[in-house]
Amino acid sequence: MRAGEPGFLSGSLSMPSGIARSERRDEGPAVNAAALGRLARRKVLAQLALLAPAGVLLLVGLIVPLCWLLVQSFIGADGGLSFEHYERIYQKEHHALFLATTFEIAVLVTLICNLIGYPLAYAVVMLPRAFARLVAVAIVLSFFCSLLVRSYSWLILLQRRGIVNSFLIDSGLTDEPLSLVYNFGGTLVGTTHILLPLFVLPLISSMTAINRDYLRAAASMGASPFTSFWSIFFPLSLPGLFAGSVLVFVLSLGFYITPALLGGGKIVVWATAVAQAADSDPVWGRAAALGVVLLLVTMLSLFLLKKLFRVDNLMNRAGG
Amino acid sequence: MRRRHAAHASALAALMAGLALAAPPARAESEVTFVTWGGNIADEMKEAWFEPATEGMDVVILEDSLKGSNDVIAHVAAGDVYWDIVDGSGDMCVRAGKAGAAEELDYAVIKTDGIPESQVTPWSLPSTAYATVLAYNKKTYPNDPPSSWKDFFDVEKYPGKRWLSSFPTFNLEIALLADGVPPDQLYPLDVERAFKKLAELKPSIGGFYSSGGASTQHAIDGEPDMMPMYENRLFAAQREGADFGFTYNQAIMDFDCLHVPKGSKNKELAMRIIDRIMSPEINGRIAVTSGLSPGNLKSLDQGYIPEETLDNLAVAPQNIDKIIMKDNNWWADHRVEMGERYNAYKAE
Repeated sequence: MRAGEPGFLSGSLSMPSGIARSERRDEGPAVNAAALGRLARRKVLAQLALLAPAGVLLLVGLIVPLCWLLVQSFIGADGGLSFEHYERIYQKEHHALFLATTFEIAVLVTLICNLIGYPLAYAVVMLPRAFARLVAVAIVLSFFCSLLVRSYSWLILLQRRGIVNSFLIDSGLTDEPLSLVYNFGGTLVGTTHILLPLFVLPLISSMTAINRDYLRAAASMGASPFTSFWSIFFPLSLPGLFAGSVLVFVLSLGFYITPALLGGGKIVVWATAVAQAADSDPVWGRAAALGVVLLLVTMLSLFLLKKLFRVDNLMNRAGG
Repeated sequence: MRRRHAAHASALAALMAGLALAAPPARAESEVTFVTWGGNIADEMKEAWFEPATEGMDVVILEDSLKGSNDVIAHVAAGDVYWDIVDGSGDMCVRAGKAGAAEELDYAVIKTDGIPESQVTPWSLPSTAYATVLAYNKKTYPNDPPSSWKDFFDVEKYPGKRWLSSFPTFNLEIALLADGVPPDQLYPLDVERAFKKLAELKPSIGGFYSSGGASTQHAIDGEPDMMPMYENRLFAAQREGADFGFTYNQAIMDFDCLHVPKGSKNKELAMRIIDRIMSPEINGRIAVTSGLSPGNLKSLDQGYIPEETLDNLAVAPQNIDKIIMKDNNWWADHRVEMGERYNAYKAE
């Protein structure tokens, strides 16, 4: 009996019925089928019971609020049913600018995470175990640090009279302080730093699972390290790479605090527009409509990414 | 997101003893939640008002912070009212009142002697007056500092990074004053002209600060060279060592307002406490702790505000003539539209 089957949960209770069944073996397959049916039903019920807490949480914490959001987005300023909020988003052209900024940040952050994160994950997997553990702990530690703390520490480093500018001026490398933060670049740096662990961790686990015998086999057949990396290791690490990329991309689409802090108010992403609408408009509709648009755009991007990179396919191949 | 800060030691002790959050503090008969915009102003109001306003009342005042200017309306709409007295700003209280989200004040209990009549509404009273002043970095402008909004927009004569607030209020006024609109013809605001002037300044804008508290921090960090900010937020920065000067010339004045959310469970107590906070004997103590002007002008001649503090208040005779009053009626009608347009301006 495997863990997870209902008999495992009910323990000794299933034993007597098992004995009883064996004594009345001659009563034929009908009894057997009925018992199997009972067992199957109990199994389904038990699995449903296991799902219940998560299901209730999803329903109360996600599905109901989302429905409420959707309904609110169609309620106009006069309290009646209306498309006015969506019309407004479509008509006012600055919304296109907010969306473009949001995507620009998401795409660039994902690319930078790829460039920094892949070699980092590779190093963690290939280093001697003690070093690897040290690096992994450093990654996880920064992941556990509060997002606010990490954003503010970039301010202390990068602001006009911050540590980096003081160093540059004192050492005579520049005369005037450089604009390192409160702009697009500062937002990129902060967002990348905060999302990098989420990129690296799935990648490490995917790389760790790669069977090293493949690499040895390739080497024994004369493949150079370069060839065996590109034709064996890299393709096998792709599922982790895509998982990390999708995670980072989707999360940065909804990023709010870091762009608000490090963008100096000039980097208006979609989430900023939602917050501003919720604060200044006594009607919830506009903020709700903006939220619905962000949700749809995110889901659409996920769908397209899936189609484009056939992520499912890769996941299956790695699993099999 | 209820974050109540126990203002009384016994409340804290009760929490630490492991009692449920909802349990009332051991000794006090009742508790009233007083809400501010947070940051240093919360401490300054607490220090100025809480003790004398509750003397002999057996009341504990709990504190909480506003997250946005629609909080009261949102709480009442959601049927979740847990605040009793809210110190809002500008047109917030009147908007809440008109939306049916504020209790009418009981003027049989609350005396209004000394309070400017224009600021006495069915739902609210002016707790303090505050001014948006032109603040400048003394390191950048040691001689001949900027002294008007015209100077603020003059990037040739005064090169340097400007910071503005994240909200359109005051900034449209500033742009129009800089463009030569006489103060008495400011309202109704010429929105197109204001945004055109603001667009000219955009290349010199270092950033937009997200709250009054953030403007204090930016001044301490020395990030901006020039910045319009509330005078009490500037005083707080100066106390922390910010090397900033300011002028009351063309400063724009507005009032904070006290109101009671509709359905407050401690309505009667809230009225009695508001009466005390607004009295000449108590209201002016905010000038001592924060440098803000009191809403009750009679508190200025009670003798408990030191001379040098009085001279530095926005409502002092030598300052008030240079100051322009914000028109909240105009803003109440245009807030949403201007907010959206200003947000686009920030991103351009």
